[in-house]
Amino acid sequence: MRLITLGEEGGKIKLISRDTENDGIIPYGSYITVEDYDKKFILRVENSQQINYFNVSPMLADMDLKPLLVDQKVRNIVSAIRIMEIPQREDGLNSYIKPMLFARRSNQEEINYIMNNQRGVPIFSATIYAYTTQVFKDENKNPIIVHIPEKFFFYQTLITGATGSGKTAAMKYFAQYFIEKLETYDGPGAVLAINVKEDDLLYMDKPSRTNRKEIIDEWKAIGEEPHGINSFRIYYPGNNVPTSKKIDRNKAISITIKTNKLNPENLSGIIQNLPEKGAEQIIDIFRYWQVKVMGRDGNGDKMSDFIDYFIDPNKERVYNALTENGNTFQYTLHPSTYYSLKNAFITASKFFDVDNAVELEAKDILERRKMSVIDLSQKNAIGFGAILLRDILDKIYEEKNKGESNSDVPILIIIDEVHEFYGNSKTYEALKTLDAIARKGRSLGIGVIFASQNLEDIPSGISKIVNTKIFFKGYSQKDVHKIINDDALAPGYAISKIYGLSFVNLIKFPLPLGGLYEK
Amino acid sequence: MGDYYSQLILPEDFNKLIAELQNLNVNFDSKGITFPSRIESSDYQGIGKIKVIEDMSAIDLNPMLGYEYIKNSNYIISGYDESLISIPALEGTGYIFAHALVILNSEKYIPIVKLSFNFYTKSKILIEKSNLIKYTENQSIQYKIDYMMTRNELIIKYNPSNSIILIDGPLIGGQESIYNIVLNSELLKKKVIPVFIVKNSYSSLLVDNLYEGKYNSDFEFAFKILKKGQRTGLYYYQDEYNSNNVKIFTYLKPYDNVSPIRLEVHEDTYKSYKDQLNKIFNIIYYLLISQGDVKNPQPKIVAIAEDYAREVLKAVNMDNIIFKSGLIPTINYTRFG
Repeated sequence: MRLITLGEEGGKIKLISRDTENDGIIPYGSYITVEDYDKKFILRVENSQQINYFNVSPMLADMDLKPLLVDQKVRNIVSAIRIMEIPQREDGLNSYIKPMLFARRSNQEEINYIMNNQRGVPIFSATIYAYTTQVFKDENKNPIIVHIPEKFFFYQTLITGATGSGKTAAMKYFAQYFIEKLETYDGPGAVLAINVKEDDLLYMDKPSRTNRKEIIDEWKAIGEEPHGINSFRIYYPGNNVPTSKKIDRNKAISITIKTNKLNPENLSGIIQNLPEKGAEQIIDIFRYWQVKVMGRDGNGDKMSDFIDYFIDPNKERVYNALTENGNTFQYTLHPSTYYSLKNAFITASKFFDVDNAVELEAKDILERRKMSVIDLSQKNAIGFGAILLRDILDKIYEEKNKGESNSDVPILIIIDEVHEFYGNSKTYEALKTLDAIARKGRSLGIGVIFASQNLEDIPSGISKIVNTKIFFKGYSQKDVHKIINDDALAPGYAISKIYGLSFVNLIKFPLPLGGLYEK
Repeated sequence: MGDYYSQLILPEDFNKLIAELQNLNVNFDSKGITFPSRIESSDYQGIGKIKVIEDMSAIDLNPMLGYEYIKNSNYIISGYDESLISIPALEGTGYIFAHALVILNSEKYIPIVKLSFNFYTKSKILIEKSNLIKYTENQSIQYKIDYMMTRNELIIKYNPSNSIILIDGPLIGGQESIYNIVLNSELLKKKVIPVFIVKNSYSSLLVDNLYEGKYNSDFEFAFKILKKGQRTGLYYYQDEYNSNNVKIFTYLKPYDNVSPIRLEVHEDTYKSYKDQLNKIFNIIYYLLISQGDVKNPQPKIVAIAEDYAREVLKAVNMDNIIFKSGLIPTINYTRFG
């Protein structure tokens, strides 16, 4: 199709379809190239609608009369924002986009030019019109690929979207790229992912399966074929052996935490609805137990010993507490806090100090080309998982900071359902390690992807530290001022604000190459 | 139709006249520029003979046949309308016309729009310094004469042969009549059937001659006796003093509760094409429904011509021309140079 520039209105270039090349409506998000002799302008479609050439009276239909063909003609009127001028001027000015210039859909070469990057994670540029999302195609029907610059991984990412929106598939796609293709920081890197739902991330070692031609075509377009990740491990807490038939049991390893080595700070996530004060209190109470009680006077050093200590009725909910600074206080726990903690500890205790289970160390994770998945999908594992996650993040951060053996391996940490682990983390204190990782991610080669179903679930502290946001369908209940109707997003399509790719705002992920069986 | 394509015709004199006015420092009233509007054509109010050609008070029209006729006919349909802005100045008045001829074939409306610009003055001093400024004792007549002449040139030159043209305004009325009759005769030579269309008139030829005392005007008569989708029988009228001022006309009521319109053709047209008039009226009725504007009933192609004329005038943007001239407008007057 061809468009003709009309002028500028409200900061946007207005165009109309050319009468003789008026095949259809160009959707939102499309890129168009305006040509003016030796110059080109790349624009992005912001608004697109059909208009009638001439009004037709409904009286015709009322009287069962047919309209003339000419009266049924429609045109496409478009407003688009200017992205870039090619070649760019060197005098600090921008060229005019004159009226009556022809425009067409941009091609891959032009998109590559404006993106200034042909390396990175390949995804598709996408468009939307009404309830139809499509991969953006050039005039020759070739899909347009954009590359997310690899550095985005290290500026932290937020992914939200409802079940079935393509959120998990996108995480898998990123994970596999990181493990197999990453070049930054002398990649490839390692991935640590937290699996919280079914067997979502548990068979990444298997090639994806689909019968859909469009998916296979998309893989071809990015030069890929389905394949699994070679180096793959599942870590499950205690005796919670994953039961999915899709997984390779030989790759699953039982893990635990030794209570005597547990950093009290990591207990902050054990209950997500615990008030901030309650979280602080339990840390100090546990610290006191670990320093002053554990292993002394016949007391053991297991979680069960702490629980016995904690639930001792003689204490009447009054506990000695040791702060990080070494000060000793006495706390009286509110009854509701007490009962919540008691239940949470009893639930989590079966995963601590498990015989024949290993303690997960940073070196297990920081292995190039390896994907490690901690499986918390089974019953009652979330509380323990919150502690484990803090523990392993601490270890990774320390290892990276120390600059020892594996510390140069770039790592991507994927935390799905992040609110399950950091739901009460509103303060810097609670997010201390995450915040440090986020800030130092660039220099240490650590990237974090936070995912959740709803934007509202994301702890505010986390929203502030991410530089890339990817919103799949149903990302927010509250945002009524959505520019794009996200209800119309098909699976795999997302609204994006990607670090280093600022003017791409609608994308489509290819299906991951590994770990996804389509029904 | 291959020979016809959209055109905007700007006569060479247009820019030359602007330059002359600039050089002569004519003092325009920038706030007095009118919005684009239609020219007021005077309908005939004279004395003459009325004959009843079709002795039927109401005849049903068939828009479906009109549609089929447009789709399948060998005739091309076209419409003409104009738009006007006037620009007052201390030294006289400028009139800019956009004359729009829109030609319909099965796929497209093809607009051919011609702009004309005239400046009229009573100042002989101004005339001596100019080749294009026009001297006139009676601006209100002269600008209409110039308009008619330009219109005729455009239509005669560009309207395709073997076609039907719908022209907004009466066939006979005031000083325009002679130009209409010339136009009509030229078009007939090209096998073009001109039909003139009149909305809103106080004409009372029928009432005075046939229904005296019953109605106030012919439009009231037609409004009362016609139902939606009907026309009156044909009437013949000849002017008592000018035997060439002859027309055959009918009233057509396109919508309920809306004043009818009058369709008129010259006697020569009638003689050549009387067997086709019913088809043409059906076409016009279809085009009226297709337009569907009860506030301003007119055949769609004429409405489109009016839109083109108005839009072109808006695009000309006289304010801009004055502004671009580089002179700063004073409170009321600005120089066109």
